[in-house]
Amino acid sequence: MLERARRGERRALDELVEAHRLPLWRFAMRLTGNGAEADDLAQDTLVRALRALEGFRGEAALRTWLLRIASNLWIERVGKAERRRRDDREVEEVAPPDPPRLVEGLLARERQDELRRAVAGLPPRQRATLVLKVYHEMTFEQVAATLGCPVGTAKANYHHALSRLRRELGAIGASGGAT
Amino acid sequence: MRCEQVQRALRSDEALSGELAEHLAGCESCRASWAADEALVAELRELPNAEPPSGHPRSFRRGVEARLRAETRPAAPSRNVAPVGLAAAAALLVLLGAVALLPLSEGTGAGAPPEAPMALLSPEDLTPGDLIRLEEAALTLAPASGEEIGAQVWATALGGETEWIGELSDEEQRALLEALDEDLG
Repeated sequence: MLERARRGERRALDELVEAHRLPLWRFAMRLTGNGAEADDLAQDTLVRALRALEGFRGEAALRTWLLRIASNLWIERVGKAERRRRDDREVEEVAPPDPPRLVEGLLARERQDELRRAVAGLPPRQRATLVLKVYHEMTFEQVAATLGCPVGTAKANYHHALSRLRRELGAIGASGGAT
Repeated sequence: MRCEQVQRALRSDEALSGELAEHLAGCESCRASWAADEALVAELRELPNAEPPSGHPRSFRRGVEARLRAETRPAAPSRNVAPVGLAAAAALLVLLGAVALLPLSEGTGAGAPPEAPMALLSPEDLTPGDLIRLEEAALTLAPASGEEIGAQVWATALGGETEWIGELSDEEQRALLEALDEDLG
């Protein structure tokens, strides 16, 4: 199907797009947090997949392969800008800490927005790792294969992502013990 | 085992080994941290999926097609201009023209193929917006066959084959092109 779609066969392209549009778009939304950017990322991913057919190793792994392309594309695209923004935020973090954000009775919608903002504030690789781990329920081996990094790096990224989110969200249970 | 090691291990999907379990049993801080991780992940999983806007399948597909076309445009080799390139270029016109002028297809003749209209609407000159308008025009003019014609328009622009273009005589092509030219004002 990929090969036929690449040659411009309308039906094959339709099938490919329809089969992967929604999961790919949702994944892109988790990464970008923005509909237009998610469109761009998901569309670029499919085009890159068609262009890089030789890198594809079998129909069963197609979705994982697409996630890999999307992740790498996104990390490559926004990594630099994200790092710059993160640096800005880290400067802000030197300021006196905000009051605890978790307030009993907080509206669910506000909490959801807060979670989304916190996830959006993660560095790209941490965010991609978190999304693959939490929403795609991948093992660390699968995450590592998808992002093209060592398993240890995937574990470290996940660890840092959770630590950062908890710090950002003021979640209960302070990280780090006494011993 | 230090607390930091324990918390990293818990986040690494490691099985609760004896040492790990022993530490957890005696460390309230690590138990609280583990529970906080679990609660956070559960909250994240409960975040509702964003849904794309209505009309997304169509707009998304067009976005992909436009990207493919944009990628193939600079790579289009000039050696394809004739005869395949001309046929593809003409196909764009004929595909749309054929919708409105199907009766003309019964005519015969051996006139020279028109050149100006082909040059006017080479696939490489068309924007995605042009393709969309062509497709929509095909659907409007011939609801029954417009979808297939629209598909052919896109296939042509994307470098696909349009088999039936070769079935039209030069006279038929010229008639269709002239009619289309007139239609475009």
